[in-house]
Amino acid sequence: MTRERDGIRDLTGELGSYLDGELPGDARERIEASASADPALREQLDQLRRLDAALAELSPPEPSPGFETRFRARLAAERERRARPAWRRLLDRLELSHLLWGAGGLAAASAALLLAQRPPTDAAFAPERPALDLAIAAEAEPEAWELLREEDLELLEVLEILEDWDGTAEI
Amino acid sequence: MVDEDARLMLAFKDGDTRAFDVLFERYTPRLLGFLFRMVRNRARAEELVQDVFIRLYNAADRYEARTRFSTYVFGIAHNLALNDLARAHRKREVALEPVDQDRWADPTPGPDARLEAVRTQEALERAIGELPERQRAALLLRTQEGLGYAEIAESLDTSVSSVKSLLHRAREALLGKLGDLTT
Repeated sequence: MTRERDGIRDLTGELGSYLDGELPGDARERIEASASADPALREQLDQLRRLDAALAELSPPEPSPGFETRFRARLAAERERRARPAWRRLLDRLELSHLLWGAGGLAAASAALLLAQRPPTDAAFAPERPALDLAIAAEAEPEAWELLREEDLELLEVLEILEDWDGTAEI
Repeated sequence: MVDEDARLMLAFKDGDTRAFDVLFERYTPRLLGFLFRMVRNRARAEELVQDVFIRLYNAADRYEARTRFSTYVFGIAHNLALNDLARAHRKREVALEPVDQDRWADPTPGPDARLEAVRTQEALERAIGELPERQRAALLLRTQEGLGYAEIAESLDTSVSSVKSLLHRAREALLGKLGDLTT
């Protein structure tokens, strides 16, 4: 009896596929033979049929008033967007906040560049400007390079890039 | 074998804008039904239907009728629905709309029969809404759209055996909740 029940349980997993017409011929015949011999399996099959019928009868909601008009307006805007050149579409995709962040970053970089290029006005402060000292050291005797540490060399490289940067190329 | 809707999409690709209009008319109710039951919010479902058509419009140049058109369209709709649900979960604004009795077309004659039908529909809609998203999508594509397992698998980007399992679990869950309503 238990084995028989297990067999029915195995078939239960196939009932949906049977109703969906997704079983091959021999498997279909097995279901049909079992269902005709077993009222419980037949009842399960009927339950599934009723459920599928109820699901198939569900109707879609009506679109809200003005749905098509809104879509047509959106489509027209899309057509217009696609007619623009690629660079313009790229700009359109950037949000204003991104542009503001970009502008802020550019302003900060420009300020840093100006500060780096500005000569010291007070000699008393000159020794406290390590970047400029390093720049001077770089122009000094070749032996002076040997005294520079690795991080000093990296800093020099950054300074050189900033001095050469004209504001358009990528750093 | 290219189905009729796929032919319309190919015609639109060749410049026939009327073909796009026909697809819009044909698929709006179907997509709205699917997407409303996926995201459970009418305004968002309508936005998503529009998104699907905008995608179709933009993809026309690259369209190739490799599958049934409905498989292709509901694949787009499913992806958009999942993205929308993920966004809604992130914002913690998953507010399920109650089922509005007047929303659904109801051709059932007689007040008792009508009330019973509405009750069944309400319970069914609620139970569908409680299914996991992929089970819900597979069930809707099968029972509402009549897609075969291979087509559902393509729309949901999964395997046929996975579709079979999703459908089995979905039906079991619904029967567990609605057993008395469907007997």
